[in-house]
Amino acid sequence: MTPEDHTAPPPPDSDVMLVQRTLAGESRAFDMLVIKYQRRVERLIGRMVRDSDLVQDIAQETFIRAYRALAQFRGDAQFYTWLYRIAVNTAKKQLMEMKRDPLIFQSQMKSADDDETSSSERELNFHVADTETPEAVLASKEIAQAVNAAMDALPEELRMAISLREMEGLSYEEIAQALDCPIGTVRSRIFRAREAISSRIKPMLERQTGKRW
Amino acid sequence: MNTHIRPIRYLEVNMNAAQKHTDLLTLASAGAHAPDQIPLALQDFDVSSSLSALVDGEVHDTELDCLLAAHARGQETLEAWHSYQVIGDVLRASAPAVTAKAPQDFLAGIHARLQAEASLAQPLQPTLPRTPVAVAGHVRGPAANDAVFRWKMVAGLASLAAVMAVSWTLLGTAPSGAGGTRGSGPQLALMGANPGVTATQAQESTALVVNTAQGPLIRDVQLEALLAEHRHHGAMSALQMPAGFLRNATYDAAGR
Amino acid sequence: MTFALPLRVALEAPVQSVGRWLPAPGARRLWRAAALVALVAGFWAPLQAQTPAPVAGGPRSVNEWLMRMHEASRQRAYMGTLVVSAGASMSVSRIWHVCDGEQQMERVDTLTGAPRTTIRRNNEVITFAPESKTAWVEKREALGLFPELLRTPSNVIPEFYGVNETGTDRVAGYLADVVEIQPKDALRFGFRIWSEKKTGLVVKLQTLGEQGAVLEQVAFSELQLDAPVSMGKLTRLMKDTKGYDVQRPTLKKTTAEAEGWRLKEPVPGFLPMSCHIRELAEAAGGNVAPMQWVFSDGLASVSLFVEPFDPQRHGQEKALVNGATHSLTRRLGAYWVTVLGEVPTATLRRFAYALERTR
Repeated sequence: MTPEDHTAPPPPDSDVMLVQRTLAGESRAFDMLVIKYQRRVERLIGRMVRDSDLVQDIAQETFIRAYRALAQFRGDAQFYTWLYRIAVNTAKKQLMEMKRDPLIFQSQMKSADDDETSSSERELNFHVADTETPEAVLASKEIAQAVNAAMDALPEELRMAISLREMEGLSYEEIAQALDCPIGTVRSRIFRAREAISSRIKPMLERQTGKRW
Repeated sequence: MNTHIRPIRYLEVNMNAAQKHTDLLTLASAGAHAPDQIPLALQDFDVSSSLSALVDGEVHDTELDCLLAAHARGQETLEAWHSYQVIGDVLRASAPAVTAKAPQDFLAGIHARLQAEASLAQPLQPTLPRTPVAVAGHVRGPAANDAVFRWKMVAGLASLAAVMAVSWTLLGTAPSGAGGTRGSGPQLALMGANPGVTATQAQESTALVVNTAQGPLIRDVQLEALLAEHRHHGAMSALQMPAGFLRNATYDAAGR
Repeated sequence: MTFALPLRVALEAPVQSVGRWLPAPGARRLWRAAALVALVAGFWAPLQAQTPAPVAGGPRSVNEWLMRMHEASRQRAYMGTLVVSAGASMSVSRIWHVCDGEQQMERVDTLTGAPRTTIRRNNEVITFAPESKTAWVEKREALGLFPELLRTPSNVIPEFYGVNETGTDRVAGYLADVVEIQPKDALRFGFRIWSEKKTGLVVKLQTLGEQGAVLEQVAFSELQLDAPVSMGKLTRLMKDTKGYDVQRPTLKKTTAEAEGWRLKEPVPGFLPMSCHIRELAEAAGGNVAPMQWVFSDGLASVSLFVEPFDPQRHGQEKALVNGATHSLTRRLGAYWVTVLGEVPTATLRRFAYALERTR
């Protein structure tokens, strides 16, 4: 990018920035990456492994291996793609070491007169059966509804800005062009939208974790 | 000679706002800007808004420094970060809304193991946790993907067709009339009843065109729906089996 | 104000299952004749175990290669991990495949993006979305066409594509022949295919654009041939829709002529294959689904969608690309035309401007 280049730069990837900071010694930057991807990694591993304790163990191990291997992350691919590969490899490695059969392989090898119902077995691949208690489903729905209600209650321009960012994936520059307003306004609107929604879901998040930060 | 890492938008700023950030002004003047013009990225600098901007990857290095420093002092930053991430994930249905383990515990577990590693100076052997994780309320569940999520439909995740939203790249506009040439290049316009209308009024329109550095980007939900139809019922090829079918089941639309 | 998307909602509205979708009469006639010929000639052998060998020990023709690749998946069970990449994006899934000579079953679980399980038995497909507990059941006639169509006079592939064997390479641990299928004109794309040496199974496939640019790639990152995949289990999984809201989108088969359309000039190599309109429930609120007219040259297909022009939803004409799929939209009087296909834009343009109303 030269000073003469008048086109907008691509939206900088915060993942790459956080990775760089982690490599520079800021472990707090890594904390943010963990928080960001914890749920996704849990879900991914939950598709491969049935036991919830084991899922947690492998999920944490995934981030540890990622931390150790961070210098090898080439910013040319998405961070989650790289993390995903580590998650899958970690899961397979751990399962083999513990001599537990990966669900997705072994289930296909069970005998035809297995008692398990088909749908629960199919869904075990998406980690539904063992740990999906009614409380969890309810908690999830509650948060979703709260987000929805909060979005509904937002003033038009705040909802528009956050929608374009979160769901259309547009950069601030692009949103500014789309909405014909300054970038600073875009940033401020998105922040205010997030704050409004956060205040609604904060009690639920606290209740769900049972912990305060 | 002013060299920029990347071009930065400049806005006129009133002196009061500028005075709030004297240290930033020093930075700014080092770049030989006019005193009443501050690089946008250094404007409007308070921690919370920075965090929101960081979620979107829209912060400058200096801001990130301050953010991480703030994080060191207390946990509010991580709490807000977690909340912002949940909001985004819920809106896009890209991840479950609830964690299987409390994020604080999850992080603590990672720190503990990394510290243990560092002190032992050898990699940890994977072990089963000795006590079961307290799961009350921490259990992961799928994000509810029902009619409540009107906005998600914009990203096309609620349907059979789209597993991830499509991003089309504009090649050019087709002039009306047969045999036209490629066309005049990317348009900067919002599709809708009248071109140039802002997104707020594009109620029925489903396409959004924006000029970006990668070229004009379009997200068009209707087109995605037709793409799904094409892939399911219009893909007649000797290569359909198995490659084509498997490909379509893997993703019905390109990821972002 | 919300982002209301009538079409998307309409597609998801539950509809009654009405009937089977069949290819257009013209194509059907061609097939029946061809099938008769094939039967008589003794070439129709779905249970045949051998993969086609090259004629007279020489290099295989394009048809022979395609047959070999097709037959490979009919003979064996396998499972693996599939990666689809186009540009910067990557999608991954786990695959299981099994057949018993007559029936073919496949299961695909997405590993990226929202969770989906797709299970196919021959051309019946069910897709499960566990997070929303919704399932869609469809018959995909497009899946049943080949390889029989390769044996018919309407197979024009050798006329428009040449084949070249360029060497061997390893994919997912298996040695494969690298085969390039090259277009003979600029109206279609080429392919580079890695065909496992022993079985012929396609283990990697690239769609090539101008100057050999890779527009899209589908490849196994892991593969286990002859894996113990249980057909009985897959069948049970497919049938178990308990707790799921099952939708059965249906298509109303028709012909372009019946709908009042024709191509004033055919696009070389592309034959019309089928025409249908998706049926929408009353709840769709007056929305009419577009007519979909499908063409194919045997390797590439193009869908021509025609619907009434709606100034609210239809804007500027534009040409777009996504991976290997190109699209073009055009206003034609009171109608809006969308052409989609894994072909160059110029080809789509030919379709768009050859389309003509007959009444």
